[in-house]
Amino acid sequence: MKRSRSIRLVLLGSTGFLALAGCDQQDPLARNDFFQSEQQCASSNDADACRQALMDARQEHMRTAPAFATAEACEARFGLDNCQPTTQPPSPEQIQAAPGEQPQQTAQSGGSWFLPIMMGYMMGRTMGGPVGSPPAAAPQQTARADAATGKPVYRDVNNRVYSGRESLGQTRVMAPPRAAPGVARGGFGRTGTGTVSS
Amino acid sequence: MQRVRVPERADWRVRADAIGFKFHTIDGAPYWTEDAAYMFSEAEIDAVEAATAELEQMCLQVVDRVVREGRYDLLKLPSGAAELIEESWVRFDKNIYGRFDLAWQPGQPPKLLEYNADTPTALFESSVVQWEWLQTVDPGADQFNSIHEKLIEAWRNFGLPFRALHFTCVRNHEEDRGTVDYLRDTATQAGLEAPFLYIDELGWNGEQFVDVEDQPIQALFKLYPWEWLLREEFAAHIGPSAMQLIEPAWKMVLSNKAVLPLLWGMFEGHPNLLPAAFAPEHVDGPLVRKPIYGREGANVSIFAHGSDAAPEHETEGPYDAEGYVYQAYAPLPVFEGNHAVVGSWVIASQPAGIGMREDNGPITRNTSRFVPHLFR
Repeated sequence: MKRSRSIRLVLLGSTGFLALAGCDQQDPLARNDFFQSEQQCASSNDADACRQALMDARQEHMRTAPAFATAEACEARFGLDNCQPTTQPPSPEQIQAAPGEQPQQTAQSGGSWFLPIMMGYMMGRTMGGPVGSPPAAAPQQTARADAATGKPVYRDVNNRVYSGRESLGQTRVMAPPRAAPGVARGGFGRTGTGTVSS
Repeated sequence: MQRVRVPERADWRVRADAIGFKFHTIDGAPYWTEDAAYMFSEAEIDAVEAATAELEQMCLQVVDRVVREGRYDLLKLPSGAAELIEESWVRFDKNIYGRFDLAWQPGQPPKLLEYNADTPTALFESSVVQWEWLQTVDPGADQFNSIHEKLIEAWRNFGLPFRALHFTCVRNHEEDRGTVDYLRDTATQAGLEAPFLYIDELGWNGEQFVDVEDQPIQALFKLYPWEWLLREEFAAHIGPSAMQLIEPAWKMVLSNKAVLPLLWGMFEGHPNLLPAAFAPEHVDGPLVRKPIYGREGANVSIFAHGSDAAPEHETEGPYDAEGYVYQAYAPLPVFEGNHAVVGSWVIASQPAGIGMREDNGPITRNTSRFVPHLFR
């Protein structure tokens, strides 16, 4: 046998898996409460809970995702084709732009702000029971619709993964890059205007 | 070795998209094609695997000799290259990959046409796309392709003293970006952080190369030719920076067509080598003239009736400044009008699999098509 036994992709493509292989502890996407789609969620959870969690995640996304004045600024943080315009005005906490900077009115964007695209969502679980009662000893295997809350998940251009509000807490990464004095750029790449590969 | 016609999967474009294969069609022309496949026998696959292992070992001996004897003049290298090559070889900096292009007439030993040792592409399609094809059309058959497993293993064994390995290539080049992203994928699975930045985004802070957030870059995989890096403004910073580069600088000896006459000089008569020389009069019969720094089949001339007659085939290109080498002409096998070349991969210097490409003409270009293979 001279062929790969199984091939798994963690960055490329939408499937993630060509064939299931062992679980990688270091991969945040291998968590069992992370899903790339409602269908994927529903294969191991209650379908209504999955839908409810996705709707929650989307609402949270609109409320909390970082908002950029240009597609380029957003893509610089989240990668090409990983941003989309939003018609909803973002809150001041969401805006990742210089004070007073506004989106340009162009045919393409229509003057919209740009948000990263959710790469999936986490299925949160709220514990049932009256206020003050001790939390349940262990999360239940299967989420019920009335207990489901969802959090949006993003992946940035450097492959760091964020979830919901927590991502906005990590300003070190979310802040736009600062040009430190004394750093020269553009000293490589001049020859590479045509084809490189061989 | 046979070319067999096979039905195309109706949904292959959807499948390609799902695994992130974005460059199956390049400038409107098909690149990935699956209406045919190459079929090999087990003995043939064993032969190409053994030839690949031997070629790699011979190549490493050429590097060793060039460094020991200081014969950098033969390679027409940019200034500063010799020191970097020597340092990287003495440290034995590890390499990740390379692709031998072989002319393989059925029933004969495969012959080395050239070694893409520094910036080979067609990696993702060899490793993942043709594997996925086989998995759906003929899961019982075998394929010479454990590239994916070997890449992850190679990154694990790389022994980088830090967790982050940066990756870079040029902007606006989907195929190069796809290749780099696939390598990042495998590095991630090996437990490394694999951030990406474009080659023009690299910063220099006076002591170290830095990323877009001004954080030091300790190791960099660059899908960007060494001889280009060394002609550019930051070239002089490479040595002092102590940044580990992959592929390592010693690959400059092998990605250079001068390796072909050097190999022949050291291993004359080896069944997987073609006669090659720095002057046309030292190669008998039909011969091919290749530029020292050629890429993607550019500036190649085939003199089917010897170097005194006009070339039979010729390609244009920008790579003729550093001169040429001359190699005996080994025509590619032709199947139904398709000239087929075998791309044989080494991962961490071990044979790992093959990818077949076809072209309408006798010189394989960047317009050639990728065709899957299998063996029984």
